[in-house]
Amino acid sequence: MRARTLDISALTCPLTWVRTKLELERMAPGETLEVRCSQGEALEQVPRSAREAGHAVSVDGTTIRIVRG
Amino acid sequence: MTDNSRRGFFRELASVVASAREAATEPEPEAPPPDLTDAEIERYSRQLVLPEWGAAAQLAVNEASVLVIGAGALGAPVALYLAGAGVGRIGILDDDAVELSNLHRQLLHFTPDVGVAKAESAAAKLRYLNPDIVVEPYQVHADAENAAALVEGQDLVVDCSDSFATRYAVNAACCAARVPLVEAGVLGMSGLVMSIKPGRTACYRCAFPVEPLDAPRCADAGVLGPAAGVIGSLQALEALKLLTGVAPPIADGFLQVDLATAEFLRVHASRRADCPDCGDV
Repeated sequence: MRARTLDISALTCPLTWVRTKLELERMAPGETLEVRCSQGEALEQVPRSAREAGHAVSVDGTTIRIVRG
Repeated sequence: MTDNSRRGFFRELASVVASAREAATEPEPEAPPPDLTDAEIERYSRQLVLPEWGAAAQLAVNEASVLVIGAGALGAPVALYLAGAGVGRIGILDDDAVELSNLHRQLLHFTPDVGVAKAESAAAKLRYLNPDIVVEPYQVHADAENAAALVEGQDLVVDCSDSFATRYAVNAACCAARVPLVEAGVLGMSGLVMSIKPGRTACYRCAFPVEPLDAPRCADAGVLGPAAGVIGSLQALEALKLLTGVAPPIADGFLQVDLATAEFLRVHASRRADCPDCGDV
């Protein structure tokens, strides 16, 4: 199954996490979301927020892969 | 599509989906929730970002119809916060006009509003705050005669009145119609807040069976603006809890707040089987 993708590279906090969170809410547990973001705050904050919300997270460059918990 | 027609569209969609579900012999997959618009996501981002608050909570609030009884010291923060949070339809009810002596505590009214009907003054500010919602001003005094008609069809009532007669009338009407209610009162530097789920938790009359004989009115006894602001803010928070379920409300009792000593006391109250307002609900 292809992962869902979301581009938050043009957004700033808190919309970066809000957009990611709303997308995750629409997914089933185990589904993967690939989030494209830009260097900086979002790349630090979004993985942390996703982990705190109970999802599995890996980061590759500026792509954040989140498996819904 | 305008926001109002959009809201109507979603209501219609929900009823179509509901009837389709009833008609279907096979269980159908859950219909996807309607999307929030980009503007809504940005406007409500600071509440959407909360772990407890997601699209479902926001949509529940957007779809809600709430009646705020009184556009004064409590009604101002209540209506402002509910409009800000995106409550889709807010009725604001008050039959008074703005007076100079109101302005120290009634945040919806400004000096040029003196003489203007409070309901209209309030509605104008609320529409400025959030043009995506519907605000309906009512220049009416809530009493035992009209309370049932006023609360009918509401998802929630927030009683921000300053008289015991109105509180008991609103409580009785909400119990009979099973409309959740947030009660409150403030005087001096203290106040109380109580959420009521009729038929499930203690109602206002369960907690206060009779009106206190020496109850002063605001005109006789002073109130500090920020004290009313605290109590009204607590009331608004209770309203959002009841509308979304994001946190348990202050039910089966009330919160007694003494702002002179900064003491918050949770007082328990139980349902009364012989309560004339909710005993049969």
